[in-house]
Amino acid sequence: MAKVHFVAPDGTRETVEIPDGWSAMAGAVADGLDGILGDCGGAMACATCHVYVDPAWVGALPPPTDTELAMLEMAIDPRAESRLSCQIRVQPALDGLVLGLPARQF
Amino acid sequence: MQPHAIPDHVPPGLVRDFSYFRSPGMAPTPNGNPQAALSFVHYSGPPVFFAPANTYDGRGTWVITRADDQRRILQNPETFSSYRGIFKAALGEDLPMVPLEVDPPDHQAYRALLNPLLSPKRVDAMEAGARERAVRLIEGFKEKGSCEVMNDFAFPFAVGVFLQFLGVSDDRRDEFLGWADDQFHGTLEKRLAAMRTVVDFMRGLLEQRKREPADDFVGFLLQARIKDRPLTDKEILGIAVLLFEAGLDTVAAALGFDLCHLAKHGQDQQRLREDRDLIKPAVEEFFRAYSTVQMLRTAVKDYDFDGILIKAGDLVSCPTMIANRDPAEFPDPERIDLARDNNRHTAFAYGPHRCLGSHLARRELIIGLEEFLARIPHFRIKPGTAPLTYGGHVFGIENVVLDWEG
Repeated sequence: MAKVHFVAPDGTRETVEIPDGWSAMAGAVADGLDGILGDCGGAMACATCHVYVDPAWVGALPPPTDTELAMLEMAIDPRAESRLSCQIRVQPALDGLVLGLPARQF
Repeated sequence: MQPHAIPDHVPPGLVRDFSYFRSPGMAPTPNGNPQAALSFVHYSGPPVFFAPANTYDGRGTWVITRADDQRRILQNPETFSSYRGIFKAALGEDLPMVPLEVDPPDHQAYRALLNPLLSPKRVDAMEAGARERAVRLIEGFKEKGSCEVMNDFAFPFAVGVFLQFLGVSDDRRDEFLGWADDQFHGTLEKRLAAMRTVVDFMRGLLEQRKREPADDFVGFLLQARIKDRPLTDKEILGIAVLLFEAGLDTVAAALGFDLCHLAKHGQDQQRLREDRDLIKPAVEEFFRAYSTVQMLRTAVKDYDFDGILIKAGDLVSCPTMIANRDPAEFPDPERIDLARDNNRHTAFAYGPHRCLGSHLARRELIIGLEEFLARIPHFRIKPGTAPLTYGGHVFGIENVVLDWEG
């Protein structure tokens, strides 16, 4: 279990407790979080679970695969710290992870 | 079409008199609402049932009604394959539509290749051209005080944007429109002939680009490499044909259903006129309420679905228009709420095959409604006419005659 903080563009923060082994996207969707859609269910086919990883946490995550990098092209306003939250696997070491939400997912 | 026999493993209690082609409201119906006509499945009978004779060729399918259950099916491509040999019958040769009919893991390589072609950035670059097309069409009928949405606007617009995407000159638009009309609305014979024409056209375009390279869609595919080899001609054709099939009828039908709704619901029309920011969420709500496609999968192994045996070879249908009116997913699902909150519809499907062109489709709908509302005064269904709606493999609408005072 890890607490993951999702931060909306206006600074509003929503914290979701996500079980180990779940993706951050699955945790956010199960919680009904508005800013994460996950339209494809984690198949890397839609880029509607796009997040900006807080710079302090970028190093804590395994780097994105080529497929994820290519898929980030499909996100709105991708940046260097962009990730698909369906590819972020929650584990105890990620307790306190801070993920910024984009202004929109499509 | 002779219905196939109901397989022995299907319990009689799960067989339901249901068909996308023949259930009430599925045949062409004046002033119909085919999406609403199927909502009854949420309120009576089992959530998973078997519908005999539920395809063009008389085959039975399982029908998965709940959004949550559909997600389970669509996220399990190892069991539920999307390969169906859709064009084998039409062409006499197998031409899999790529990547729709390719299962993971191969699927992902094709998707990765095609995604950039329909990325938000690419769609931004297409916006000005698409908007100009919409404006030209609308200005063309504005003074007449009346138009038929599908023929005068929705189809020419969707076809024009598709040609723009392909990099094919507009001179061929009418020819293309004819094929699209035959392909999506013609008799079975006309559909097959149109399909062959489209494939021949794409084949011609491919040969031409081999001789005269160009920086366009087909040129891109000729340069592309997948798993360290170039694409085969068959793969390129499969991709081009899929985009034709997937990107025209669906966008045109959505425009037709949306403008029909606005013509019949003057208050909704007025709200969008007063608040342009509402157009975007309204387009999403229309996608939800007027979804037109079903995902059809073939079980490739036996599967126990909560005690129901789905056998290898069975067809499994996941209709978006039913999932998108699932009361467990959407409060008050029959109400069209232009500002609906947290609208997680599956109009673009779910799982690995979730629509590749959603950014473009959404933009086309937004542009279409924005320009229509900005240029045409208050419109209604022309008295004495009735839009004709129908179910089927892809739901649709025709004869949406609007009129307005100049």
